[in-house]
Amino acid sequence: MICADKLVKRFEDKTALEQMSASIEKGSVYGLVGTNGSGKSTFLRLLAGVYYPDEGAITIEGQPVFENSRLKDRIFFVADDLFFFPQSTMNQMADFYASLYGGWSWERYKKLCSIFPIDPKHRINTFSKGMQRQAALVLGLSVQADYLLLDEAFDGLDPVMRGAVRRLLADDVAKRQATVIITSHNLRELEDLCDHVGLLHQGRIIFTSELDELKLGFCKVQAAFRPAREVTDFTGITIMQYEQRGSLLSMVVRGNSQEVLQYLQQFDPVFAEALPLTLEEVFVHEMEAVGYDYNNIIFG
Amino acid sequence: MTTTTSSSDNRRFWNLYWQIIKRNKGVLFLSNFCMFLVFPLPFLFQMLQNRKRVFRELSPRMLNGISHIYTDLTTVCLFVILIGFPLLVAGMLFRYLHDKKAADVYGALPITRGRILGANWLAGTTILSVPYLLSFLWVALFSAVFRYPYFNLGLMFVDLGVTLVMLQASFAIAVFCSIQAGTTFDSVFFASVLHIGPAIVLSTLPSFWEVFAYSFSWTYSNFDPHWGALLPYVTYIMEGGRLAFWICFWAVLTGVLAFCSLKLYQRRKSELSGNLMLHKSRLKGFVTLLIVWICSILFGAIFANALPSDTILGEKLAYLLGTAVGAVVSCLVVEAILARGFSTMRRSYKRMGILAGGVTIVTALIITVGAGFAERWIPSLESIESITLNSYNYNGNSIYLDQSTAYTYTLRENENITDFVNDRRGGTRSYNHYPTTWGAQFSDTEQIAYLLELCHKNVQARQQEAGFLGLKQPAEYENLSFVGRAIFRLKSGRTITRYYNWAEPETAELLDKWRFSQGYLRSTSPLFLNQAEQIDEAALWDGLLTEKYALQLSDVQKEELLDAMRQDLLQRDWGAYLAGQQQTLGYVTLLMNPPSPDQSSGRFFTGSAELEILPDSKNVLDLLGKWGLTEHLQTNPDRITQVAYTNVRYSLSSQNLFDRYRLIRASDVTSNDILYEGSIFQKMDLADGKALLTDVRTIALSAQIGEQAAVIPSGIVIPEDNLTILFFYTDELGESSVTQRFLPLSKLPEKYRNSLQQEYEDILQ
Repeated sequence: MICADKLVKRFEDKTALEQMSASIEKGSVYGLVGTNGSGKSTFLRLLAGVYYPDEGAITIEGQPVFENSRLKDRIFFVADDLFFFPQSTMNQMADFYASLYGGWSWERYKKLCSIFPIDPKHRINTFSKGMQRQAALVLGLSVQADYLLLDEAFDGLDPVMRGAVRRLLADDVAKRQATVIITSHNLRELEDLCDHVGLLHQGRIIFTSELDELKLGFCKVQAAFRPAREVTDFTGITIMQYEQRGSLLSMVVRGNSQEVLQYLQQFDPVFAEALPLTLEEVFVHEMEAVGYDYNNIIFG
Repeated sequence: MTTTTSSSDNRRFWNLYWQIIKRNKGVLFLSNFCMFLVFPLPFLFQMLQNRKRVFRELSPRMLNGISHIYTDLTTVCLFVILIGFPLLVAGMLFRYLHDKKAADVYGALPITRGRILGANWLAGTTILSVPYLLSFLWVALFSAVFRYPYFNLGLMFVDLGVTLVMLQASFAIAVFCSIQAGTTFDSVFFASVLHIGPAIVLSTLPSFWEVFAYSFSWTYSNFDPHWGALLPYVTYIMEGGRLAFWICFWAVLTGVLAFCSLKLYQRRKSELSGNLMLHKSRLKGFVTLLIVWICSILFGAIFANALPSDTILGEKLAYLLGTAVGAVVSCLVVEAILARGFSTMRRSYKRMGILAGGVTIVTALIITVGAGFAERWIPSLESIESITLNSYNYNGNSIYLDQSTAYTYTLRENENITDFVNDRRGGTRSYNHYPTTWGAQFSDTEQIAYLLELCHKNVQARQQEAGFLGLKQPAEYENLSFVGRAIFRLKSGRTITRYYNWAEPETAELLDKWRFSQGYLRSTSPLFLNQAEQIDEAALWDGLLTEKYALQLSDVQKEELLDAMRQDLLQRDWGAYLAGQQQTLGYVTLLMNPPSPDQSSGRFFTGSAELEILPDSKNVLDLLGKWGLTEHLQTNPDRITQVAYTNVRYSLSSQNLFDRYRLIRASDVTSNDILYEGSIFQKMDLADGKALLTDVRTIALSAQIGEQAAVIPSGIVIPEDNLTILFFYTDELGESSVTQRFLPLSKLPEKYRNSLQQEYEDILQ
């Protein structure tokens, strides 16, 4: 379990993390979202042992990370700005990590190299941005770390590769009970992968929840009525958001979709169906529920 | 569990080390190649050059270093390599500290920071040391193949050890800076300043104190190795006890820096990587202080020299103004360099103000408080056992041999050393070698008291008169370079050395008079330092040195002659001699051997010693009369076949304590003067169609002039006067030989005087 307790990290006159507290269960895929400069990368660096906190503590399985080589052997950090030794090839980088990480698997490395369309014998500096990202992920996955920290992991990846990475991460979690923390400023990138999400704003986690719980609490339905109905007619359900176009009414409603559809049947709809709810929509409503204006946080 | 972790950490340490070595194998190869080019290869060439001559001409001094293995090229290159190479290697290996992306990777590695530092340090040491180790192996191989007579494996190991310690020290400084700096530029900047800054400050401090407080310096040169040893490469050229001391110093410093680097690295903030050092940093503060201090001294000297000031007060104020300006300017420049612009100036003005003001105030305190303390630094009469002064003796010599330091040197196989002052033992390959010693030594209380009085006079005058910085000397001293070195050997066993780089005129005159005092002559003349049994040959010459008469003397006669020469020297009318009023009647020359080992243990001379026979040389003249040899003092003009006149410049290169009164001797004439003579001859050729005057009348006249002219060989040359040389050519056993007499130009016949005067003026123009 990862536990951050009142973490403070300052850079000269700027505070990146302000009394941040969080706990992340082992074996989960935790998505950390937030705007640029909200402190996501700083949190990951603290978690990877690159930085040490100015105040507070960050522990994994009850142990501090900084200068804890035994623990760090089970953590791998893929930074947003990737680093490879000058003029090095994938194989040379692999040799470097293999010599330092106890969990390195050459077998997995070779397998991953065959999955991703990159030549491990070519110099990495000749790769495109997306290919470099793939190389970093191949190296990171070959380490077989218990804790995989991915900072903007999908940045530069095409949709096909994103799908591949998602599957590989899901496989890691399923087979080895790995914990993945992945940051992004784009919720849509995370919703297919994460089981937990947290929103970081101005150095604090202002919201964190299990994704299933979030989605279970809301549903999105679409129904058509003839004659058209006013939204005020539906007093038996809690409508969070609605949109009316003629006789077609789209609503985000608190509760189970089956129950809501059953309720709508008494108004004799032309049709009524449940629609998938995006993570962003869930966030908007959940945050409004706890008193935040999501749009102001993200765009403000 | 702890053992498992430790074992795992050790494995990672060595793995990381090999990874670094693998990544830098190109650098390792290149450095080995370059090192071979500048070290073993020149040594090989030296061996090849000397192979045919079987080291006949090769003495240990031809190659440098403790084990005599460095050629001049190698020595110069190694100085550069000792500083530059560690800086370069540290820059490469610790570049990850200055790159944000690399810092992420290294910071997240499952290995402690201490081990990361250790692995990089060890890799750096390997990259730095392997080229040296291989080079030494090459040199040892070449030495063995070519049977280099000075090959000594033990000394080579010492040389190697010294080199490795110096490399480590330079590397430690560079790493120490890398850990604290955020960018490679800052790291190199700090390391460079730390390499040379303390050495410059400590080297200039003696001069600074000399100027402001003591009126003497501890060192002859501002870059004397004693202070300059703070530069690694200066340590490198030292030998003996000083080398041992400074090697220990560097070794300890390396250890301290390694420890500090480890502690700093363990708490180093990774976020520093790639950032400028805009926040408070002790290293930045120290480096800035060094630069500000150096610049303030430099600007102070420039202002004191450039601004018009006739009084010592004026010079001091000018110096202070320069100090303040230098401090402010350097503060601004350093801040702009480290901030890469002027954006931080407003925030830093208070700190810069305090720094510049502090340096100026400290300088002002030294200037004002230091004055008047100078005489405290001259030892008391009671505490002194002897004083060694770098003064020339009456014969213009300042280099002595000392029986007490003699040792026997046995030639090695294939060795034939010719440049040693030695005494070959018949039929053996062993030599008595006498190291030379410099300066006249005085242990008589009266002489010591006199010298101390002169020191005090000089200091007092220096404190009171203009010429405060030594930059504005009185006009009559403009062309004189004065360096007076006094070594006070105290009864406590301590030795104090004082350099007086400026002589107050009154002191100089007193010193000059003292040079001809009986005490001085007894302490410095070969006639008194050598014994009669050392006389190998004695000869009598006429006044123009055209004819030599070899004296065949018994031991008793040698004693008599030496005693007479000593008495005449002591009783000489130096006033008339220095005024150029005494005619030279002839010369007695003595060729001296070293004393036998069981004889005196003091100083002595070898080679030739001579004494002019003047009208007041009564003892020698009486002895020659008694032996019936007076007739050999007469010059026979018929022996002279040719005669020539020329003149010489006064700017002879020899320096001595009495620079105002120059001893003009044939040996003092430099190659420049000879060139000048050559040009005179050439011009005379063009003008007269002949260089040498061969008509009988001219020769007779010249001989007469030469005989009657004032004594010049060891006399005064008045700076305003011009000097001429008369060359007398004789046929000695069928071979032409030449002797020369120095004369004031005014003594020549008008025809030649005018001609030479004109030539002299033409060339000066």
